[in-house]
Amino acid sequence: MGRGRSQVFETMKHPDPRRLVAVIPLLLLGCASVDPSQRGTLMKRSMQLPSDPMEMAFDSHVHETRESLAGATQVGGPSCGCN
Amino acid sequence: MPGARAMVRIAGLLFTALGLLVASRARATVGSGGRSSVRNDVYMDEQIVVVSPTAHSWLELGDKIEIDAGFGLDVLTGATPVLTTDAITSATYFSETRRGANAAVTYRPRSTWDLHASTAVSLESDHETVSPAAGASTELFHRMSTLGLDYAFVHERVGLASDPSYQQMTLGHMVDLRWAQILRRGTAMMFIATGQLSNCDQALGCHANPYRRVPILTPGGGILMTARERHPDRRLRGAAAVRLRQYLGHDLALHGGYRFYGDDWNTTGHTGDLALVKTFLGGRLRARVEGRFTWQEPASFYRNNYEITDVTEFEVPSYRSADREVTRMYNGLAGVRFDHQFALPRDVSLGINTRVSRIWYRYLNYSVLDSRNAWIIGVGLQLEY
Repeated sequence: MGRGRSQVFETMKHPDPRRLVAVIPLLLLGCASVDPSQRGTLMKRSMQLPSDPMEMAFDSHVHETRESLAGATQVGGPSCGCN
Repeated sequence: MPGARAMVRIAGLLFTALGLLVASRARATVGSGGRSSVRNDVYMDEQIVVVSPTAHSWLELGDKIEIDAGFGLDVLTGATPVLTTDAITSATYFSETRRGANAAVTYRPRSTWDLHASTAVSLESDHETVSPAAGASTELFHRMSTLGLDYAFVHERVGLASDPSYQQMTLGHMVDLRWAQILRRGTAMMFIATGQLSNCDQALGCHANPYRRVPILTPGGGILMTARERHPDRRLRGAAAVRLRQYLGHDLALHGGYRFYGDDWNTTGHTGDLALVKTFLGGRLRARVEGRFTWQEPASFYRNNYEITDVTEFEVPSYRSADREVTRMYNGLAGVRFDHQFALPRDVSLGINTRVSRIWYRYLNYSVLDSRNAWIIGVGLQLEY
């Protein structure tokens, strides 16, 4: 028997945090060692966040003052391993 | 639109920012380099216009230390309906300015470690926030992983413009955990988790507005009385997000993420975003097309109507809110951003960026308003040296 729409909706409202954590090891299964000399693709500008941190801060401020939701916003990223 | 006084303030800020740029450039001759940024973003919807000029500079002092400082304004103008003791008035004009400043220092004892501390201050006529923070991050596993932990303490004071003796305090703690992981040559992942605890004064509770009043309705729907908005005096919030960046070839990349939010007011939310980023002209010009969607379930105490059944014997609900931000709602954003970098003589580069976004807000159980639609327009200049 499939779950009803309301049950699915309730699950979406209160997802089990253990399921979220379980996703992370799955992501790492495909993790391959990448030397710093091979990180050119990762450091391409198309892979970077908008260049101005103040722009990102403004976006976070807009969303946090008009929603009840806050936190876990994107900052930083992986290392180029170049210094 | 902002009045003449606000425009003078903005012009003053931009002139000061230019001074900061020149000063930073001069100082960089004794350091290892730095960058400065000035920008102006404007948010506009049917009720409010917010003009937000900012300036920020980062300066490297040798290999191990970086300092940065910035400041900005939010100049708000608009008109909003105000609920008095027994009626909703026509739209009432308002104008206010928020001033913000922040400063940070980063120390890198080793190439794979950084320790940082910062403080941010935000001042309005009836609201002040001071937030010192500290954190560390390190690179692990052949620098494939970056792990970061940050803590911030938040002190807020809420006042009333009409009553200088009125004062409410909030003490907050925030912890941020970040984990960035390289998965493949063209794939990077990031996991971010945030926990926040706010302890607020009892008269108002957390994030309630001292000016906002909530109508208590008779069974017939008439306004029996109004009461000041009152939220729970404690709020525990958590959010976790997973983000992925995938290179697709031909200078094109896909960025995406999902965030779950939950708090002890039973508010939950899901946010997804997706962006396609493409570079041109050898990487100097970058275009980003992006979308974002958020669904939010309301706080448990929120009601569209606080209606009583007996007008002769009743109790005002302990918690009541007329805040559309705690209602059931969704919003969608679509936008584009462009930035171009120009190489200048003496290892200096100039970046110009601009963005336009459209946001649609829909409120599903808020009788005062069912929608609003906003534009965000921004332009910035960045100098790297």
